Amino acid sequence: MSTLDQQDLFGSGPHTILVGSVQRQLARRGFAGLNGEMILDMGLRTREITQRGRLQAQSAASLADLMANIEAVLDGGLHDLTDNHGRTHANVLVEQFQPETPLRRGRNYWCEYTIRYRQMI
Amino acid sequence: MAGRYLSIKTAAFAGIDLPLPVSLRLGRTAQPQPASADSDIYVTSVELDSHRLTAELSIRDTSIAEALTLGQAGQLTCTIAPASSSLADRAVTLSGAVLVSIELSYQQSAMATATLRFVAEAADGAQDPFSAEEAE
Repeated sequence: MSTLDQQDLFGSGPHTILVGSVQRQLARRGFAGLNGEMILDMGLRTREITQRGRLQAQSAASLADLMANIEAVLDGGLHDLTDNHGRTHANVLVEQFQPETPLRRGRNYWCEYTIRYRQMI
Repeated sequence: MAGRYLSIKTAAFAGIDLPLPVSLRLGRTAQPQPASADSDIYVTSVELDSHRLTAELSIRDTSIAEALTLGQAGQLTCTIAPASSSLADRAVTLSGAVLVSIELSYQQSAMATATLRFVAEAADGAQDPFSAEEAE
């Protein structure tokens, strides 16, 4: 089960965590009349992590609480994200929490979501 | 013999009697939304889309069906006769039934059949359009 700073924010439903590659920032320059280009290596920057999943609750109010708990970690601070495989990703900034569906009512109340994290290195 | 039924006695839609009913099929379906975590081998959550109630009624009297129009809405009621004399007739009702399909089938040396298909509209999104009870 995944956690954020040991908090179970996502355990109500299944989710997947896609850990992207760390990004190297490059500045590319070209000059008129010259073949090729100049690339300035700016160094390693950040890693993007994407979580997609489903929140589930017995009532619309409980589901809203789950969503509010996730929104509370959009605090600009750095967190420790532990994924479903038990791997911990340190220094993670929560950039965006995006509900992907309206609140749906089937067996329970549920909603699909995407969270984007940025890991500082 | 409890709960066993043998035939359709009457059928009516939006106050129109539908004579000579042959078969009635009622369906309740919801689109499953299975999901699992990246660490799961099996699906761990099956949520459902909104529930859909459908009915398919076949009748022999095609002339009645010819006069119906798609989009017509009303209550669909059928009385089902029991297989045992100890049981009462069963009244099966689909309120808010919307007529979405009419098929007329004329065959050589066979009786013509009209097949009517309905999708039920719930009055308030929470009330079940289907009900069944002992007929009076």
